[in-house]
Amino acid sequence: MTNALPVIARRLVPMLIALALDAWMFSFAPVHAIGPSWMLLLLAALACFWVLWQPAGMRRDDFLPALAVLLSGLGVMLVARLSPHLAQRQLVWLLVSLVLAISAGPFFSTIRRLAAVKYIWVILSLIFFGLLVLFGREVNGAKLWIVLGPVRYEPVEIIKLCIVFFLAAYLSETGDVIAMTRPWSIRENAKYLGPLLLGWLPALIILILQHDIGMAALLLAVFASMLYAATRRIDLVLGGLCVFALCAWFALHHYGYVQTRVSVWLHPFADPLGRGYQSAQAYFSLAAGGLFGTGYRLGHPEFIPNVANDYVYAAFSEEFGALGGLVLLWLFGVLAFRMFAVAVAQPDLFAKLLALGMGATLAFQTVVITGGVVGLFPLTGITLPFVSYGGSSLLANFLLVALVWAISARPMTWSRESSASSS
Amino acid sequence: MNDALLRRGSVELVAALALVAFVAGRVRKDAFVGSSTGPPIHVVATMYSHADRVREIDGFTPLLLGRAHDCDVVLAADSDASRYHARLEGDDSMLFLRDLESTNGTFLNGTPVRGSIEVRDGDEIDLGVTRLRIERIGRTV
Repeated sequence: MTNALPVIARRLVPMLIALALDAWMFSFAPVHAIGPSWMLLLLAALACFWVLWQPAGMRRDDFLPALAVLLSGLGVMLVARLSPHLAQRQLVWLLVSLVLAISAGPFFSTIRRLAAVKYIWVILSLIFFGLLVLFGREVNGAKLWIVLGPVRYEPVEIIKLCIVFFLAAYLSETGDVIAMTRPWSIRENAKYLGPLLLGWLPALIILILQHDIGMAALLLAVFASMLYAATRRIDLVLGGLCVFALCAWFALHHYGYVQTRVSVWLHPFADPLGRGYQSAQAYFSLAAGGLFGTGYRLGHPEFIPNVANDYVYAAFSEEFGALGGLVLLWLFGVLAFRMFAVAVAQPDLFAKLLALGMGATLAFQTVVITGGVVGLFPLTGITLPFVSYGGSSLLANFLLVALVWAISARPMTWSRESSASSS
Repeated sequence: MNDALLRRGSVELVAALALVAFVAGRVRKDAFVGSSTGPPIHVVATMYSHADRVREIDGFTPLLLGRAHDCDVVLAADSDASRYHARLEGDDSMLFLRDLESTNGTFLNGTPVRGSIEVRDGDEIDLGVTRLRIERIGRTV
């Protein structure tokens, strides 16, 4: 058919635009900070291969991988400006993420067959937790990293995805029953909500024991939104909020570092050279940026400690301005919105909940960390998806996008533009 | 690279990103809503339950078949059917049957359906304890 060329072009165009923008960004970067050039060409080729290698006769939302590549390029540009050494590592992680996202493609294309096996995801996340307890190393008061030689991996990022899988599989089977259960019937509620909490609470408990409050809050938010989407029971969402309030209260009174975070959030200038140093510097950085920013490489975001991980949003906002920060949030919003559009279009509840849960994970993660940076919430140590330095998060988010992209596939049919091009 | 160039480049980059966000945010309605964009195909079928004739179906593709109340053909009494069981889709003037990973499967003339398969006049589709006999397919092209 003469349709072959337009199909390839349609699949490739969003990715090519993203790559062109990335190349333009990299041209501003310090000399030799990003590279070598064969590495960049290899990454670009992989990104193109990623969008071209999809089942024939199907059409997917090709904006999703393009936005992921665009945002991760933005991240590399920012990290290169902060630390060329970290930028090199980030490029290697980008390579690993792309290769894994591509090789997981065939598996993700048949993901609907896994709707019936739900507890495998719980087992998988428990295995990751087990590895963490056995081989974990404590960094900054939280035991989050598995260290294998030069590679450090944060398994919570993958566990996050496993929990979304479990919730989607469980709720797609029992969602209609939970929806019909009367809120005051304890026995009926326990029957169906019991296994749900059983599969999910250990994860939460261990997260709190591992001192990762940000991730626990993120998982609770995703849990509540998936539960609401599957059952439309507002009482369960309110219950989830109460659970979160209890957990937060418990953490506040039992963990010193949570207390520190909250007091720094409430009074950032009480101890500006000590505990409040990081967030005070971040506020100065945001203020220095103003509306239009100082310009790339012309600000001083490097005054913020740990800027490439937690405060990358402040670094971006300083050099590209408040407007730049808003545009960055807009891009995240578009990415999440497209994922929700994919969820809405799915005929089966499992894929619908899966796409919704993945989109919600991305959206809530962005909100929690940017809100923490600008002082809306206490800061929690989770990453800004794709942009922050950090391989674990980059890898998990590429898998997340690859999954929703695979779900978005629908049969390519006789449409107007293909008929116009073939005639 | 001098400062003025960097400053201008940064502003231009933000503008370009805003343009990308604007374009990518305009999700084309037909790209996601509904399941098929092929021309609608007129389908007339007879529905049997346990070999008893239930009713006549007369509609246009895409037709979603299942137990859920928002399906186009609701199989409410069929406890063996999945909530979203199968879909009849029009594609390039042909009618296709797609199994939506239903629990008990969809059968075309007794053969299990994997993915999507073409349906012709007189074919019999089995889902749960329901049988659909395709009486007539009205091609619009």
